[in-house]
Amino acid sequence: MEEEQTRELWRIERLQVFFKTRGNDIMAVNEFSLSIYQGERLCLLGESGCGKSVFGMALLKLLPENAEVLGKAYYKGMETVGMSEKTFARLRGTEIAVIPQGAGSSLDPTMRCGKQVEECLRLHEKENSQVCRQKVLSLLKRLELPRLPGIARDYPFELSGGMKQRILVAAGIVCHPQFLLVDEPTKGLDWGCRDKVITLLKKLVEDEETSVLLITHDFNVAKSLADRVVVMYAGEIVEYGMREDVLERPVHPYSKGLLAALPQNGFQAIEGFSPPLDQIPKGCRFHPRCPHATGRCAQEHPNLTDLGEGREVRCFYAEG
Amino acid sequence: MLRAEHVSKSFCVGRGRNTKIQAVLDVSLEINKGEHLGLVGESGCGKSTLARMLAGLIRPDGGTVLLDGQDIQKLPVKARKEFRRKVQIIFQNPQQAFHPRMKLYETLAEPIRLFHLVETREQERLMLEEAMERMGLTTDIFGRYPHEISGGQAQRIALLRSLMLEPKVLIADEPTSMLDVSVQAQILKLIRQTTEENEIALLLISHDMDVIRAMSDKVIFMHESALNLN
Ligand SMILES: Nc1ncnc2c1ncn2[C@@H]1O[C@H](COP(=O)(O)OP(=O)(O)OP(=O)(O)O)[C@@H](O)[C@H]1O
Ligand SMILES: Nc1ncnc2c1ncn2[C@@H]1O[C@H](COP(=O)(O)OP(=O)(O)OP(=O)(O)O)[C@@H](O)[C@H]1O
Ligand SMILES: [Mg+2]
Ligand SMILES: [Mg+2]
Repeated sequence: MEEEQTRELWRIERLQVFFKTRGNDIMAVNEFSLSIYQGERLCLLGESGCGKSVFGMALLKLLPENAEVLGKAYYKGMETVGMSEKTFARLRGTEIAVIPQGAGSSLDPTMRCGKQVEECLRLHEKENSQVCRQKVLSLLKRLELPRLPGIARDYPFELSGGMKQRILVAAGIVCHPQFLLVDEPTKGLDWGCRDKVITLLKKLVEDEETSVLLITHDFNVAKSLADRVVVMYAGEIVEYGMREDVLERPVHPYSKGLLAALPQNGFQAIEGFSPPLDQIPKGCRFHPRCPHATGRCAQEHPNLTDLGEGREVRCFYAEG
Repeated sequence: MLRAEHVSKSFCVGRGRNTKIQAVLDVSLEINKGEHLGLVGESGCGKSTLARMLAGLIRPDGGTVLLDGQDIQKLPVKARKEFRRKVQIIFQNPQQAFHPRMKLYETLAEPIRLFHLVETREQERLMLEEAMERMGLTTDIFGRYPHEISGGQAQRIALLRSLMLEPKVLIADEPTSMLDVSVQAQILKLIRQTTEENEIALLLISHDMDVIRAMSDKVIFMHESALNLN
């Protein structure tokens, strides 16, 4: 059992993503090294625009053409960064799935909603369409969509924001993938629906040993889903560890600041905003906003320090 | 100031358009100058539909929407343009509101030019740069297309474009749902400040009760096709 649980599904080594733009080149993800284990739920937190979605899309090879990805990523031992698009697309249709950010722009506006979910299933299984349709309907029912089965025939523009989000969730999980990237799955959902989505994702992990990479701004979702948490700032990992450690006893000043900004902790925002990614400050990327910054922080870029028990922090003054 | 009187809206969906959905049924509400109104309710209960009717983007089947006592569906052409400026709406999905093949600078400059907010191109650029800074955004974004920015950046740009026009009423549908808690706190503060300084009436739709609590003086709970005033 022990060994089973620690099987590595992804091993990511120094992954970097650059964007060629009309201005300076942007480094959106910098030297990301990380493993994702089978049946694990890993949560990615971080400031808006820090590169979370770009990292996820880089793993899934879904970035636009102006992006350049360096480094290595091994999925079940297969290197994927250099893999041909065609080979990877086959994986993406069958064992790797994604629930992308932004329901409004991710659904195909010209295709009926039910069909979009069915399509995902048909790629995966060779079932006939009747069986597929039944499966899809029962999933939509569990997500508490109203007006079933009629709603499956509606087009995306005929649905409310929260309904579209649930269609996206359904399309992501319907084929029982082995790896699922989930980007803000609960955006625009009320509490009832949010619980449903969390429960479904949990069940998927328990029943199928799916690994989930969850990107979210919602701490409650992170708390109830994640095993491990990674905190990102301006394109790099600044802290990671077990959920309880990072969410309850954060070490990095940015993680601490993020927690202090929670409503129950007083809505206290971190001063300032993060730097533009084409003008990263010298030294520690967080130092201009850090209340504890010293001269050293402005000069030298800190590496991740191992604090033991699977915990690493990018700060000179980190103590476990 | 902006008032809805018994507005209703239904849609026909399904094969042959023969299923009728009552999205909004007989809703009346009023937002006054400088007031902050929160609107909450289950997913699919008709909040966005109501918001779009208030902004004059869809016509109610029944009832009227009035701005300063005037039916917004019956405005003369010139007043209609004014209305478009006075009542601003931020959509639930901000990327939808941007032209996909227009660079963001152009997207932002368009309303400035349309309403002649400034005289020269230099002033225009200055105005935009300043507004971007307040939102915690950097000007490298100007040259990009809407799909080349993050979700939270898109939300802030949508907000910026609306606030720039100094509206009388701002209708915001989940304006901060893609921001992390820290940036969200900063942006909410900025919305509060701007609306208070300029006495902008705010209708804020959100599923996040903490946001609603922090932002609104009064809250309206909407049920499936019905409204309970609180
Ligand atoms: N195609 C692109 N070309 C240039 N820059 C891009 C492109 N796509 C994204 N970026 C930039 O890369 C950075 C990271 O974007 P990303 O979408 O990963 O942010 P995020 O962490 O998901 O933020 P959010 O929480 O707001 O969604 C942003 O600053 C964004 O502007
Ligand atoms: N253009 C349309 N055509 C057909 N039906 C529509 C249309 N717009 C909305 N509806 C329907 O009207 C109802 C209310 O939708 P609305 O978008 O107003 O909900 P909402 O309260 O904003 O929900 P959410 O919190 O999920 O965004 C839903 O059942 C939706 O499917
Ligand atoms: Mg994102
Ligand atoms: Mg809505």
